[in-house]
Amino acid sequence: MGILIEQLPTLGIGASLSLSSKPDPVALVNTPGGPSFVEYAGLVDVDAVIDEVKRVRAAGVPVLFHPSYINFCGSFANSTVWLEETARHIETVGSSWFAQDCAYCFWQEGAGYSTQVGYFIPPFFNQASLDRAIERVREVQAIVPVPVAIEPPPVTFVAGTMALFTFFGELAKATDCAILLDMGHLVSYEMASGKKVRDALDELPCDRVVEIHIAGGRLEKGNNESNRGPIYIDAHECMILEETWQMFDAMLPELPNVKAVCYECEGVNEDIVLTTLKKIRRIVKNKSASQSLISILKDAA
Amino acid sequence: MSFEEQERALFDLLFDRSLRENFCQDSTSALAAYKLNGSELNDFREIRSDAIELDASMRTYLILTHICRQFPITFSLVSSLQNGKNMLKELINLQTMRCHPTERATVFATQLRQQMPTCKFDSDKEQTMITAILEAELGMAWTSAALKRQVLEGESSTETVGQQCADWLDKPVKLAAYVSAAVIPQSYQKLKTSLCPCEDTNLWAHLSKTPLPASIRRKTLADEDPKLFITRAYISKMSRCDPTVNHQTAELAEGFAPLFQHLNSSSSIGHILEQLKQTGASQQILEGVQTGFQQLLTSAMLEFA
Repeated sequence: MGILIEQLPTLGIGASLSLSSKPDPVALVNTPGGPSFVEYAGLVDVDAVIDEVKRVRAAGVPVLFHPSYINFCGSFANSTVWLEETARHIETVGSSWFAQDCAYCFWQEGAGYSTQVGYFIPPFFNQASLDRAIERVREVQAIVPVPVAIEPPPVTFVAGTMALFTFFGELAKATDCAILLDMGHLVSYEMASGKKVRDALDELPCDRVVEIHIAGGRLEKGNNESNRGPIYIDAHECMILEETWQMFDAMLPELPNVKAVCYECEGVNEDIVLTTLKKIRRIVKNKSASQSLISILKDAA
Repeated sequence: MSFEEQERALFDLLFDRSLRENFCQDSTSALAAYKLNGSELNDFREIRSDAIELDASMRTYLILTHICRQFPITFSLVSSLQNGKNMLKELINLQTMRCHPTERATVFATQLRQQMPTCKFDSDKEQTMITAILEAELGMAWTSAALKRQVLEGESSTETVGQQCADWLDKPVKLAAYVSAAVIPQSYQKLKTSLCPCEDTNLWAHLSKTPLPASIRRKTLADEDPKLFITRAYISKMSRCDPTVNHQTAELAEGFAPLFQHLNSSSSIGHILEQLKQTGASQQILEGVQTGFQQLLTSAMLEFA
């Protein structure tokens, strides 16, 4: 492995928050049992967020930048200007790595945030799509100054027959990048495809997984004709579903190099955030295969 | 047979309702028009029909949330019309979504304007008023898109500064760049206060659950006090990627509207006032017109030719 995952800092158990709305990241950081890092989904322009980021960093915790405007898949190349601004953003805020969902955020030449197409459009899971994704990741790596981590996106539907972990395993190996796994997104894939992600666990280079996300979601009933159960909707303001906790329990022992576990909790009540962070810490201590993560929790206790 | 064709088919499935409905019935025949081989077609068979329907519906909701910010009063008014909400949803179609994101809002609203005559209004006058409001908001969207495009194409956006000098009455004038003007039934801010029950960012979420009651539409539009609504788009936050555009606004009496055709780079305000005087305008009107034009000059909506 070319990227030096061992050298990435271990950030512990953090929270993904909106920098300018409730719950206030700084208030949470300053509360006992609060997050040990803050992740945020900001605008590309660092000037728009730098004051808020400085407040968070002054409270004593690092930040991770996790946007939603990079095409890590598909035929439509990223704009060099957007990538340069991303690099400037990352350098300015000191994000240790750069992770984002591997999905379409824009179509054709219209570089921009995923909101312009509603939200992420998932990639095809096939060889041609994998080839394009390799191009896209390399394009980002060429400009961004820190290791890149790719994240399987949330899906309501799946197009293509390649297993999720085969696709992301091949992509990570071909581009020598890291991986972020969102537990809810894995559940969403299982519900949309009817396949178990762990059936292809051998295809996933588990040592490349540096970050885990866990977040709320809700289930929409499928129609009667499909007879394939509910559809998972990524919804950070909701409670974490039992299926997601089960995925967390099952994946943690497989991932030896996890540096950060992030509870994505934008819009969640502060008390619930603190209670959930406590639960996450307990599970990590009991289940994680990442010694550095467990050590940092013991040191903090 | 290519991956690009698969991408095209997927995008169409998300934003073309009739294609999606056909796909849910029979995926193979629905995609027959696309040049896909057996394996490429097979990839689409993995898609749950209920899931793609749900996905498309959530996507439409989120895109409308976005577009609604540029057309708050129009969205409120249309939501109060019979089948209004559905009409808005159906305009998140391929025509809207295939164009460049900068143009999407204007393409959407242009389609809405074409659809307006199919709506059921209380009267022709009501239709005229609602269409005028749509035109005003569309004007802002156009100037916003044009300015954004200019900045993104690397052309510097020269910030217009309000102009004033001793002989300002004698200099030929013209409308500044990125200015739009429309006559609306009453003050834009008053309309917004009466018709939009929450902030622009949350408005579609609100309207999609609770459309504006038709009674409020009727009551508000009955209180007629027409204004010439003039706006100028300007960059409020510069960015190489995503500049933010805001609008400066001014409102003048409706009677100003015909005078705007004289703002053609050859007439001066003094000349326009002289012509008005010759047609018998009172001193009070002349003073009002002079003050109005002076206001537009100092706020950079007019400039010397």
